[in-house]
Amino acid sequence: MKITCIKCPLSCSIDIKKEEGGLKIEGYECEVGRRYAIEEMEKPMRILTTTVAVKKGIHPVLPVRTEKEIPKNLLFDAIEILSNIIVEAPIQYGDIVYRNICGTGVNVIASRDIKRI
Amino acid sequence: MLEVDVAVIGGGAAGLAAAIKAAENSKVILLDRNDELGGVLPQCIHDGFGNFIFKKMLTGPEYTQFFIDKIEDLPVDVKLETTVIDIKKDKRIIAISREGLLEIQAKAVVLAMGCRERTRNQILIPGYRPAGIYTAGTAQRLINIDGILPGRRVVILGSGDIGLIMARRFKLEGAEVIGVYEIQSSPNGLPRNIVQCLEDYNIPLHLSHTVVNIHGLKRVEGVTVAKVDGNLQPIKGTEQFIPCDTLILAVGLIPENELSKEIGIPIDTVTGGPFVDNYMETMIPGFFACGNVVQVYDLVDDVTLTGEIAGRYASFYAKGILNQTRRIPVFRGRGIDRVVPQFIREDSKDVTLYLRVKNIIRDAKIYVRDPNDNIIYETKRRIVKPAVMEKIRFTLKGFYGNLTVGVER
Repeated sequence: MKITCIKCPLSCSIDIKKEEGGLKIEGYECEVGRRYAIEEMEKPMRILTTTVAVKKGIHPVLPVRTEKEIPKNLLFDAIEILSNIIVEAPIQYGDIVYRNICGTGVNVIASRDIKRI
Repeated sequence: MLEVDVAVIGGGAAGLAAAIKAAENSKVILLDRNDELGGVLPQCIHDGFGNFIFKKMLTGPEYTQFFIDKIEDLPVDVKLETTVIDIKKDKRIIAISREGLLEIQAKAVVLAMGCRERTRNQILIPGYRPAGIYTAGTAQRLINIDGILPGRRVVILGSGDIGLIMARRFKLEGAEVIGVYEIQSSPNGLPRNIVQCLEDYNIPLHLSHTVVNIHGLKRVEGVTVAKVDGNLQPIKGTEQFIPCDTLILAVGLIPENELSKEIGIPIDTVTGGPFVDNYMETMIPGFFACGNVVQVYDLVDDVTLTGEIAGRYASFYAKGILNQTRRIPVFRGRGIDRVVPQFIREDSKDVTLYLRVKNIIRDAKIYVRDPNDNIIYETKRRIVKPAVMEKIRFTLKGFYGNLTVGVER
């Protein structure tokens, strides 16, 4: 598979494929890029940011994030869960909105304070 | 009439930093037209902010929360829903607010009004004027602050970072994103966003394409896109109708300098912002400027840093302890599109310059020369690109006269 490295402005286009006896990796210019390509092939991870509904807040939605990266293939499952969550104001920055999303062990937390009306 | 040492106009990343810094030794007022602080950051819910200052990838709201918490602990007079309508040369400020007309006499002013998005009018797309055409930032505010999804079938024009981020945002909210169309032959946004906002969600990116017509009377019913030639002109016969209900424009940002111009502050036509020196003082004494009102920065961290500089020296000016010295101009040399600050105070030691190059250069050398062509500073980069702002730092040792910044292979 082809991977665009995002670790520096060089943006190397890296070719990576599984071969007998290991991986064949071409087109990287540094160790950081090589490791990134392997990670992207084997287990790509992403931070998820979105909003959840808020009751009695100064805004109708609260921005939230996964505390750490979660596997990329779980992004839409996580979104599905979070689209059904309603929290009630007041909310404080860092409050846990959802624990252990999709069994990843990662919590979803509030990105800001929301005052109650 | 309110009397203060420093008045800061705008409560985004730049204004917050300026007000916090200025409050260390002077009486500060911060004015913002919105109903909360943070400028655009509260609606930028994605992560990627603060890597330089906090060594962490924060979301916009998280980044701004830190500064909001800080300012709430300081004796800064924060006035929200307050729009400045006029600033006089003697630093008298007229604003409208819920309290009525406000008159403020400041000793120094920090301009931190940020930038705004280019709209359809500035890129001259013909067609009707139906509902469903939004700038990326407006759509971002509707979705992330107001909880409203403004469309279901979306075409995005422009591949700048806000356009890419909104492509992902629409997708995550359940809308169909048909594609991102970019008139240039290479994408404008960061590779990270191309990968994580488009490729991750199988959203196609069409380079060398633009929107040439918008259809629909009441609501957008579709757009016509076309391929463009080397001069960015649409090629006849390549037009294609794409049904959609929403067109998102992510076609660039412009520093918002209506107030600065009315004061008579000289504006650099290249950056669209005031000429400033390395203390972020404009060409009119006592008026400082910082953040995206000066030029559109790539990173919010740099917006904050320029805000701190402007705040510090504005408070020095207000206290009468800022030395008036001569300024050395910094010229754009070979390969350089823009440089900020455009002037350096003669008594400076450590200097930071922000610059953009004109072309992509691999194994580049950025240099600073004095009037006799002696190189006084030089640094290497593996690659420089117009889309990535470069930052160089060096120390002045003595007097040089005019400086010229250049880049070469």
